[in-house]
Amino acid sequence: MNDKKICFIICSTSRLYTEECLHYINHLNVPEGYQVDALTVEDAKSMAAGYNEAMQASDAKYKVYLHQDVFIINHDFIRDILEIFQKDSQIGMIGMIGSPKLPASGIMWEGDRWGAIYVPAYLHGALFCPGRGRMMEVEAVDGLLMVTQYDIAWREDLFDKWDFYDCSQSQEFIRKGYKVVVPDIEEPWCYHDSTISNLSAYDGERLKFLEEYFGEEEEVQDRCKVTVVVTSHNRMAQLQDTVDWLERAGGGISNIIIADNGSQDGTAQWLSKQSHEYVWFDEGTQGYGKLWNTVLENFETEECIVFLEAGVYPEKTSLCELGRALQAEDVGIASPVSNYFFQEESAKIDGRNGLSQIRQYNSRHGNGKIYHKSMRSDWKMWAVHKRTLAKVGLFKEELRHPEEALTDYALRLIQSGLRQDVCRLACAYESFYRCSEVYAEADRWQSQDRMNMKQFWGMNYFNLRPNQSLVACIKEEQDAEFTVLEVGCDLGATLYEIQDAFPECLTYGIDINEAAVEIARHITRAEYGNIDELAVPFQEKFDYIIFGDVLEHLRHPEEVVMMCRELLKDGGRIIASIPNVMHISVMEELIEGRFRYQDVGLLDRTHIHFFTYYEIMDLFQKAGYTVEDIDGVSFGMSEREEKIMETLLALSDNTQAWMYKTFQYVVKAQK
Amino acid sequence: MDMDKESLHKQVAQLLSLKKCDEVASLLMASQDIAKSDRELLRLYYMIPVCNAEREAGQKTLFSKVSSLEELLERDTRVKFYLRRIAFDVMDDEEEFFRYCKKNRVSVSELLITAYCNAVHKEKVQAYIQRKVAEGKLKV
Repeated sequence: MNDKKICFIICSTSRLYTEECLHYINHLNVPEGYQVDALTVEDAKSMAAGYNEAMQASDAKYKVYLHQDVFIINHDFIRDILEIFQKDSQIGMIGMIGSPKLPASGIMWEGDRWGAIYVPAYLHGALFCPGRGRMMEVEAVDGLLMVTQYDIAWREDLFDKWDFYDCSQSQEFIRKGYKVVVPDIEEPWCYHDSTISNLSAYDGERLKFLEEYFGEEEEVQDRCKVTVVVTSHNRMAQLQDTVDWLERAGGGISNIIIADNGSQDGTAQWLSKQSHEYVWFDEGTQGYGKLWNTVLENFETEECIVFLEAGVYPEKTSLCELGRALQAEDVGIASPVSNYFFQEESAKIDGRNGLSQIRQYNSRHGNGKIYHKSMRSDWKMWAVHKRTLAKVGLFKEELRHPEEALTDYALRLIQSGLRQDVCRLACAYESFYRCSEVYAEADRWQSQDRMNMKQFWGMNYFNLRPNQSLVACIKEEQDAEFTVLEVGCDLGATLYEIQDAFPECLTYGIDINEAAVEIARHITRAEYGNIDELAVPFQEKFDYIIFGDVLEHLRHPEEVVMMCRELLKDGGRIIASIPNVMHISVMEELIEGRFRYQDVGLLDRTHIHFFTYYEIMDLFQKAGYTVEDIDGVSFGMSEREEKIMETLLALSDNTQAWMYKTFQYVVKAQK
Repeated sequence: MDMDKESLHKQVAQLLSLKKCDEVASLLMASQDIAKSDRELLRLYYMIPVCNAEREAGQKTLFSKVSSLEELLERDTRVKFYLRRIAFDVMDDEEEFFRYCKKNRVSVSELLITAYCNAVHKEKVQAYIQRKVAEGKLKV
């Protein structure tokens, strides 16, 4: 073995790319006394096989395995890697991008990654997290470039295609007691001209990887083992399908309990012939509060219990991931990402066979975070820890509708200082959306429950969903320190979302609903306050003041917007969502001579002021703000609405189609 | 490659070989969902503004200068390789680059937009292109 030699091993399918890759290698500075060699691997059976062949053919101590589309731009690359290896002989491998902790799915890009590379601007530009200030030990590095100082055989026996050879080789080094690291890189050392992405065999290789390297984590597996409770009502076929799916999913499930909610379609007879534990209510359909409690009170379960509805199909590793999420002491409930998270893309998902699509969408939307704090969970699949039940108690049996029962529980979790997490490593396909698709009486349950909820909590509405369009207007670095005041913060859902996106920001909220403020106080600095009185109970100045559908409820919106200038720091901004009274649905009513107030929506009976695009612009501009951005949320139009709009457009040169299509404006105005 | 991508690939290739350049752009714009999940076809999106700029300047368009999809992708690869060498100071033979541009009628619009969409130090690369145009080494 020549310990003064570095061999670059390039896996090649294109001469053009390989030559370019070599061009950059030829420009590297070679430390005195060292030799550089390059080998290209062509027509290999697999990546691992090709790399083994090249490894055996070279006598260089240091080997750089790289893809043909990786161009090393750090001219002192060789000096830098030698320095790392020579400082610590335990370091076996260096990569440019790596996972400090590989997700249970084995998919590197679903978890946190370290390192830095450049990629083409039309893809993303520069990537990842440069300048973390120290070298990072990782569980796996990306195969785009891997440097070794010891020869360990690549597992061509297992990985006979083009994926997971990199994670596998990282794990092989770790198994042999070596460290795998990503250096502290301020400026990327490489450019990855990633042009081809063929993931056709990816999932098969991934499963091999999980079996080989994660199969041994018995202790973790045991801790993350879950009991799955499948609830069902008159959906025998879906129930059978879901149970069959879960049985085939295998790992992570300790036992399956079926809670049949008074079905009359033969489910009870089928259940009596199964080996699974089950409960069947011969007194008829029960509310979900009682349904869940019955299982919890009568069956032996693991510490982590996953509730899912028949017709929901979790991805294989997702149950274990939910169990893992619940290991954190302050997490009360964890839920997966489902197809209904991706409204635009959900139609394209190929049923339960489309779980990999959900994974892809998930990784694109996830902002790189594994756990996303949320104030609500999806009733169709969620997981709870016994520790949570001991602290918060069981579910309220008066609440029959699952959404209401979980909303009540969400508020109790907040009061108990526990949080809910959406675990982005867990995903599920849901074959239905609304409770009314399962229960004919769901709407009646819900209206009764809402009356109960009003009695319990002293509130009419329980808004646990953040206003994402307002959050999206905050363009700050993730670690930026800034302050946000939300006027009309309600339970604090939007501020909670902002805190999750920007952990260093300080949030404040005021609301005229004292009961809501009591809950919001667990989340943010919340106080009772009526902005119409032109005062707020805080001394601070703010970078942002948010009004989420609030200005139209005020008696003096002009004065309030003017007064906010005093509360904002120099350059501070108001972000507001405001309903558009010119929306075509309102115009259609007016043409019919009607202007009927409703409980919610554009003509909410509590609206005092009404705004159009021009009124919004006036509101802010007259108060001396610069409107930086005004965008609209719109929905589809009926044929009749289209016709009315065309007619109206012909009457005025001052109006445009989007003014009729926009349901709600989101405006960002700077002081 | 699934059927959708495959058939789109074929259609794009066919239109290019028939020199139906406008139809390539229309097809791509109408099939964004499929095309944008294919890294080869994705590259064609930044070529549409190249064609538009060339058309506005009264020049032959990029799509009409090639006779196949493979040729188009290879040309794009070579152009971006040259531009990247400028960005990272590893351009050994400037004249070779000028000869390539001349021989293949690479317009300045093509260079500037490709640089914008690919190069890391794009201002540096774009300034270089402008300088070489002023020196008469690259033709508009």
